[in-house]
Amino acid sequence: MIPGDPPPYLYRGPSILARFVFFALLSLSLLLVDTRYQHLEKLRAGIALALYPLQQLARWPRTMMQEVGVYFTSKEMLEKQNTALSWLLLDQGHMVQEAQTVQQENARLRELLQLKAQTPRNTHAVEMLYDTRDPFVQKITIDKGQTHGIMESSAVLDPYGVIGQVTHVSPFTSDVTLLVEKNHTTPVQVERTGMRSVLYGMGAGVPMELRFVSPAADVLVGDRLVTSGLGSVYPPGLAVAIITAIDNDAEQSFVHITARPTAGVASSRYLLVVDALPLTPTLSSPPSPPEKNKSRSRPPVNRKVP
Amino acid sequence: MKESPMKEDFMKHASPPPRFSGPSLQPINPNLLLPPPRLWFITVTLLIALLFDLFPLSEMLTPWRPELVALTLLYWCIWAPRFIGVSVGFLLGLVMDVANGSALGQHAFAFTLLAFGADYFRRRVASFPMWQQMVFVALLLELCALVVFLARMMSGGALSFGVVYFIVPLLTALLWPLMQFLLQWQQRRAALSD
Repeated sequence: MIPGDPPPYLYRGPSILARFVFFALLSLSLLLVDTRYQHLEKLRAGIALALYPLQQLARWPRTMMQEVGVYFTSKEMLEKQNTALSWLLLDQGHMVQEAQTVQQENARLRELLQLKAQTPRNTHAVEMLYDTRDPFVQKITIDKGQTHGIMESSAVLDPYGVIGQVTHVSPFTSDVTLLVEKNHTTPVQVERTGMRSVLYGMGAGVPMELRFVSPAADVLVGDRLVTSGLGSVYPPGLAVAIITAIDNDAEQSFVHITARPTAGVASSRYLLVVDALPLTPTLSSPPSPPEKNKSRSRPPVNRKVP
Repeated sequence: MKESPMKEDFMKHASPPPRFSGPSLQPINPNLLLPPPRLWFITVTLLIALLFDLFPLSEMLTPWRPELVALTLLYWCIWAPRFIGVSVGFLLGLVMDVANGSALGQHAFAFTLLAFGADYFRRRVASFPMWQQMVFVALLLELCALVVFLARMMSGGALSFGVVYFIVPLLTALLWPLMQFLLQWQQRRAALSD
C-alpha cells in the first residue's frame, strides 16, 4: 500500500475524475474568457499582489550578484564607460537643445495655425523584471505598476524606439506585450512621406507586416516607420520599425511590405513608459474620425483604447 | 531467458513461502518503506520550486528553464495524494499563469491534467523502476505541453515558439531521479530518527 492512501471505507469527497473534470472545465473557461474578453484583470492583479514578495525574493540573488559585480568592476572599465557616456551626452545634448528650439517654434506655429497644442505626457523609467516567459505570447514584465502610476495601453520604449505596450497593470508590476506579438497592431506612418498605415506583429522572429498600402504608394526599402499618434494611445513620432522588403505582387490589391523593429536590438534592461493619456486630458476634444476606421481593422485582442 | 537470482532464491526456499516475509519477484521500492511526508515540507518544496521558476534568467536561457514546479507537483501527486491533488494543481497553475503573464487558465489547465494523470496512475508508477518512472514523467509532461498547445490554438492564441517548447519536458523528466532524492529528504530524516 502506498503511504497516504486512504482506507477505501472513508468517504473523501467527490471522486478524482469528477474533480478533474470540474477544474479542467474551469481552467478552460478561464482561458477562453481571458483571451477573448479580458474580464479577469482583478483576479490577475490579486494573484500578482500575492506573488510579489516571492518575485522580489527570487530576484534577490541576482541583485546581490550585480552589486558584488559593480563593486569589483575595474577602475579602467569604469573610466572607459564614463568617457563613452560623456561623448554620448555631448552628442545628444546638442540634439536636445535643437529639439527645444524646434519645439518652441512648433508651438508658435501651432498657435498661428490655431491647432490644438500638443500636451506633454508623463514618463516613467522602469526596469525589466522578466523576459518573454510564455512560449505563446511575446510579453515582458516590468518592475512598476498601478501604485507607480503606470496606465494600461501605455507605450514602452527602449533607447532605439517602441518595444511594446502595457497590457496588464498589477499593483507593483506590469506586463508589456511586445510589438512583434502576433496580431498586435501599431498605427504608424512612413517618416519620409507621412503616409499612414497599420503595422502588424507576426510573432517572434518573423518580420512585421505593414498592411493596407496600395501598390501606387511611395514606399522604399529602408524607410523609417514612426508612430502616427492616431488613436492617441502613442504619442506621434516615436521610432517603430524600418522597412526591409517590398514585395509588389500584381495579383493582390495591396503590397506585401515587411519591416523589422528598431528597438530591442541590444535588449536593454532599462525602459521608458510613456503614458497613454496626456498629463491634462482635454474633455472637449471630439474623437477623431480615423479612430473608427482603425478600430474596425484591428482585432479586439491585445489593444485597448481608453 | 536466464532466471533472476531473486527467483532462484525463491525456488530454493521451502514452498509454500512464509506468508508475510516471502521475497517478492520485484525488488521492493524503498519509497514504500518511508514514513508519509509532512505538509510543511510539501509546502516548502512547492514554494522553492516556484522561486526557482521566478528567478530571472537571460533571454537565451529563459525558454530552456526546466519545469520544476510541474515536476514537484507531479512528485507530490504520486507520493502525497492526501495533500496534493487536482485542486492544488489548479491553484498552482493560476499562480504560474500570472507569473508568466500568460493567458489565465493555460498553466491551470496543464497542472490540473498533470495532477489527474499522476493521481490516476500513481499505484502503478510507484512500483516502476526508475527509468520507467522517467518515461512516464516525460510522457505526462509532453501530453500536457501538447494539450496546452491545442487549447491555446483553439482559444485564439498566437503560435510564436520553437521546438524548444517540446524539448523542455524531456529535459525536465531527466531531473526526476534528482528531484526524488531531494524531495525525500524530510522522510529519510524522519525514518532515521525513528
